[in-house]
Amino acid sequence: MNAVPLERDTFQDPEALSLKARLEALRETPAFRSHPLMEELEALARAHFRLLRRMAKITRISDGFQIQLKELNESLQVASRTDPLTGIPNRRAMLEHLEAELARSMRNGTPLSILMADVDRFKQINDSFGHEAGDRVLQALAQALGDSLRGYDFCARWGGEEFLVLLPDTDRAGALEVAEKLVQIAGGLELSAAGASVPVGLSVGAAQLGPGEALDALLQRADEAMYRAKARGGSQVAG
Amino acid sequence: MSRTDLDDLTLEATASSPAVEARAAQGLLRIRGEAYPENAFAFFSPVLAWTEAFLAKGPAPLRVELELTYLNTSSIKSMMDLMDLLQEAFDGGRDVGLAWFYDPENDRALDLAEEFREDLTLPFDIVPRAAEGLP
Repeated sequence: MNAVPLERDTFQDPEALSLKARLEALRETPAFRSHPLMEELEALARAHFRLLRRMAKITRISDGFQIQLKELNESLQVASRTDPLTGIPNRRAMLEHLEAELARSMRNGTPLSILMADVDRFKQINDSFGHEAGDRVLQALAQALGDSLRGYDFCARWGGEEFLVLLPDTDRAGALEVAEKLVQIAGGLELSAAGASVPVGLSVGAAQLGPGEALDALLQRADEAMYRAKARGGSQVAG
Repeated sequence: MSRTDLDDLTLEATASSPAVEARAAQGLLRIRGEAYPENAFAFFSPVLAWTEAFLAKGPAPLRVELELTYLNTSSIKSMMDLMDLLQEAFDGGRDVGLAWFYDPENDRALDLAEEFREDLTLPFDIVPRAAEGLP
């Protein structure tokens, strides 16, 4: 009879190896070599080793599927917070940041401001140059705004052609300064569609968080300021 | 008794179980989808029974096509039971083959397919889905 086979040479379970060695030693003992139970014992050992091996395989594969699920979950988490068109954070991500930063500002007594930035005459861009041009305007703006902000500022696509910028540790004067810069950057973007230059303008409303002010109220003030900037002709700041 | 006496088996995919097509006349068993049924043993029992019956009936070749994107632990065990049946038939000289389709976009899918193939000697093709999608 053949030696008790392990399911695979590389199978390294120490208990299994030790059991295998003991069984093989027993079989070499004259008293056991022709014992009627020896064959059954070896069959039992084979079944045992096979099960061990099988369990290890199931466990490995199962772990693999679980890691796959975890990675999928992580990528969905990122996707659920990212605007697919521009690749910057979306409204949901911004709301989470706003809540956290508002709480931090109130706790530490540090200033906090937001900027509501809306693309001027966006509907006209879409109508005259096509939606693809409109999409490119949003992508270029998202990129340019992101590049010009400080590392701890947070910019998100808030709505259709609206961006919201969160400026921690920034008072109204500082926010107006950043807002001016964004208006300049937007005006300096050079985009063309069908051989014609696409005019890009940004109207920005700035608001600093007031004492005890709720998030909704802050957002509304920034929104109203943005509309004032638009009413004055766009490509400017109000707040 | 001829091969065609074995009933075909068709299970529609559900949210937690894969679609199963077993065609005796074509010698084809196909399982596609995600598998995390509450009771994987109950789900896969008819599939294993069909396979055993097919292999017992006659010498016809059997091709098994698997396209499984997710398997819970008990479904993994059932798939290994299925593969054991196929391996045993192959060892007995039967013409059986297995094709495992995977999503090449998924970095881990190929590794998992190879884990399944390990220890088996029957023809086991691992096929990127984009290159040869199932109809």
